[in-house]
Amino acid sequence: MRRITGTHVYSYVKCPRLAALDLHLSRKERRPATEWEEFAAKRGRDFEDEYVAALGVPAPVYPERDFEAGAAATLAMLRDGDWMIHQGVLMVEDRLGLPDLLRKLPGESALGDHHYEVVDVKTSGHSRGDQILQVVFYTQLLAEVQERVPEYGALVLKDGREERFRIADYDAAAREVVSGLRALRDEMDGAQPFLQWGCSGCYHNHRCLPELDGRDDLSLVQGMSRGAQAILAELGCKTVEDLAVFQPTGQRQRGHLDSALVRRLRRAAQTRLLGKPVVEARPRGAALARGAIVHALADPFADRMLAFGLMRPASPDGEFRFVRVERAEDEWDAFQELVAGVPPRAPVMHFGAQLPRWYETQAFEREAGTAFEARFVDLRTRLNHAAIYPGPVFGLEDFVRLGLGRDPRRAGHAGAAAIWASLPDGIERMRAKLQADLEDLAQLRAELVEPPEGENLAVDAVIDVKGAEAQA
Amino acid sequence: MDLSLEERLLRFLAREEQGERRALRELRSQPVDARVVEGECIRDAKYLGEQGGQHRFGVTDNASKFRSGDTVIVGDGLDLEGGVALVYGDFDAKKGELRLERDPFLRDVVCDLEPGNEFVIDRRPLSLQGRLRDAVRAAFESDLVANVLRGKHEVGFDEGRRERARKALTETELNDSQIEAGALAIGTESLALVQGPPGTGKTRLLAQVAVMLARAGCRIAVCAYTHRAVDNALLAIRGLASDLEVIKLESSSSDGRQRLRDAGVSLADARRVNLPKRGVVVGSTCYQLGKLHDRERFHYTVFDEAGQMPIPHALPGMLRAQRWLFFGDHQQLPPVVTSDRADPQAANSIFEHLHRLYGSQMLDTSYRLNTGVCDVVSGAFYEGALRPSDCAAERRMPFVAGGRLDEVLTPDLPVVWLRIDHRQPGQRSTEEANAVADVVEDVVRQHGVPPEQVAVIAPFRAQVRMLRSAIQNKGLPQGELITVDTVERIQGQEREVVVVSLTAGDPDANSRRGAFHLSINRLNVALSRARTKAVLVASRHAFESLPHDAAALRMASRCKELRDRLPVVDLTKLYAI
Repeated sequence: MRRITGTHVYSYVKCPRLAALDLHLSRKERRPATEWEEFAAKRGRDFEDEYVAALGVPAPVYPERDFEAGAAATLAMLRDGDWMIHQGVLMVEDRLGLPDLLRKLPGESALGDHHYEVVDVKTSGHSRGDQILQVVFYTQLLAEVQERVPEYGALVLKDGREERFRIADYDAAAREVVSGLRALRDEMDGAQPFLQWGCSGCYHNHRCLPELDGRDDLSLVQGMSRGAQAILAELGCKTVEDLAVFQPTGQRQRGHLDSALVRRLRRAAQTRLLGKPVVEARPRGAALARGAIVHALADPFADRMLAFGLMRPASPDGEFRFVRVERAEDEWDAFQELVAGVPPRAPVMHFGAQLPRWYETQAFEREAGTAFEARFVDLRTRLNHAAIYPGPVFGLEDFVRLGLGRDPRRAGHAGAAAIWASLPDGIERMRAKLQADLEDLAQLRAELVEPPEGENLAVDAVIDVKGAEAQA
Repeated sequence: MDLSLEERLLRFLAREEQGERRALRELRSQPVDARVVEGECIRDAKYLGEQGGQHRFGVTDNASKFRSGDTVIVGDGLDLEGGVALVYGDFDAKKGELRLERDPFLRDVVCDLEPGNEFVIDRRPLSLQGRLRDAVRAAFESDLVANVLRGKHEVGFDEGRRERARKALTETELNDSQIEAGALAIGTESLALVQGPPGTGKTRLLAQVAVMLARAGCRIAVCAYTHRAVDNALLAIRGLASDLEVIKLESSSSDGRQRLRDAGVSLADARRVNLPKRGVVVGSTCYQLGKLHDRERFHYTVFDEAGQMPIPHALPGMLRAQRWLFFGDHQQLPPVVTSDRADPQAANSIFEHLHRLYGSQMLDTSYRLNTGVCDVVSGAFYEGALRPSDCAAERRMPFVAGGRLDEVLTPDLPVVWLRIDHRQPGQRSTEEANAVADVVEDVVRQHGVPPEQVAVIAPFRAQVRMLRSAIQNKGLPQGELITVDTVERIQGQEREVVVVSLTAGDPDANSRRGAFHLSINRLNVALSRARTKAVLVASRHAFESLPHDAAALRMASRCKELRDRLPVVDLTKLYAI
């Protein structure tokens, strides 16, 4: 029987299917990591090693992978009352945890007049739900070992800041995850694959994506949720083809799903069969064309911007400008220089939350006004509602692939920008990537967000059920 | 860089304003069906014509969040500036008839809608930019208010006054924790905070304190975030002292005027009123209070439901006095914040902000909750510190065995989870609506609970509408007296029996909704309206979400904990299709 570990907890929160595959398959069956995935993982390990090395914390000594011996060695250290323990082994029944740090606190427990709490070291800038649940999972193991539940757990984030949280606030969720994992260990197919954000970077996607395609899974339709899929399946609507011709006549026939939702999902299925996006009729808003689009390449680990690009006006034939940011302290000035030529009041388009979040933090630190922020227009939201796509759209790559039929990685993968930063031709690569992304965004805006007069047609005018039936 | 609280508050206000504008801008960039799914639009509304000043529309499916008084625009759904500006009136689900009214604030609106044509009805923005920014600046120009807000104020008490108040309060029917909190409030030289969990007599104590102070010749301002809360406080004051002069600063949008007039509360326009110099209670939203002439000052400003009041909204009220009494509960509904990245220090309620700095006195005895309901509420939300009063503890819901849903409605289960494992992703669940209607029917017909003693609560307005319709279809005698509303509209009220419909049963959709849907504060308010019986109608899938956001996950986890405390009656087979 495979033991449930903190990694499984982490996976389960991301995707139960991922956790199921982790529980049932060996590591060899994962797809090979990409260059930038390995780079990111190495930096994470290095950060943790450096942090722990600086603390000078002892670790239990035991033969490799002999976790029973590790747990015994850890228990001895816990009883001895070491002030902190690195990579202690906590093993109770079918669960195994290797928390980064166990920290000694005063207060009685089965260990004596002291007890411990769990501290995990993470490379993110703020604490996330999956990280917290991992700490709570370790804490539940620790509580059984020392017969006392510590009140708090903690995460050390990449800026060295420690975030503490009450274990009781997350205890029920962590227990539910463990019980879900036990069920999946008994039955791998307890969790079916479902196309979602994160699938494109998952090390099991070579297994799940063909499976989804093979069975024409409903999750391949834009806007689908697990709940809606379950309801539709009960009504006998199990594939994209089924959904494209699904015309329920009453509330009961549509499983009490909202009629507007059924209409949207059906159109999305028809669009998938059509194989290209269909623009939707929307209210006539202020024209965005005279504004600019800004985009950035970032190093998420270092929490800094590497380069900014700008396209003005925001059209495919707009002028491209590029600025490389050598040091974190130059980010603000570089951005200001880049946007200086954008006419006042003109909309400043961007994709996703990264850029406005960065701007907000910078402006906050500099006590800058909020007028510029008010001009931000998120193209992601606009694109989401501009058209129905032939598949779910999560990130820029999906919009480019499904909206324009282009290869979004023709100038490389944005995740590799941190590697390029140290290469001799790094600037050129970054410039090329930003230019390609901005051209894509400008094209998406022109074709989908503000299509030429006459092309802003309602989807019903383009696709009809009979057409979809014929294709099916 | 550490920004000052003043800067944080000003930024918070600016971001809120921006957030509202951005949300509306983005909403208006969506196609009609997407707006319908969001509950922000009604499509295919067939214009039937005007009758008695009301514009009638035939609507087959109204899943919108609109409620009476919301400003709307009627048009083709594409030109959102060029339609006809009206105000949402009401919706008769049985007839499928929607009624819109003229906007009293707009002149020269030409209604050129052709009967027989179909229209799209969208939300129309209403600018409420007021004096909040000015109030923040003014507050930080006042050393006293600024120091209080920054946590640099030392709270002083007049011990003699406090003792006299304690003595006087002992002669009332207040309990020990109320007496202690009341004495603290009357004895303070600057501020006092009273935390009032459900049914602990917070408003009653507030009224008692206000009456004592007004009778001593003080001018008292009573403020809250909503007119409804102000009205409740004024009615409680009036109930204690019919001879006291009580004035409500009215606004043209406030409702419930007749109730106030009947109770002898005078209504006055904030800009024109000349207030008595002594011994008066003036009720108002803080925003209205800011409209009074600058010379008008009070001995005390008393804030009710301060746990719902954003810090900037409290400042116009604080600037009118030098002593402030805050009554609220940060475990109940928090302030509504629009921006998804609001600075947590600035987005807190005034109560929570000051509670963290100065602490508060908690009222520990609930006169509302019986033992069973209190055990759940106290354990889940107040770390076991809340207890039922002797008179409330043994109360039981009237029960006559032989009904269809006896296993749900038995008084042996004061709080029960009626489980229906549907997976609806939207803001409506027919499955739950049907179950709730059956429960309500049994409660009223079989067990004889008066309709006015029943409340049904849901998180979404669309579900509220569906529930109303399902209950209406039961044809219960005086069924219109049953309260069916969102939790925001029912805070501060109580009923014998409360039925809560959690509605959404899709973990994906619930994770996206974040802390809103599975808010432990909302559930606290919803369940704790019940005196003797609370039924939580929910799918097990509603609790399955594991949001990535840490705050939302905390809420989800605490909801799971609450779920695990509740006895379950699984009626999936009966109601889920």
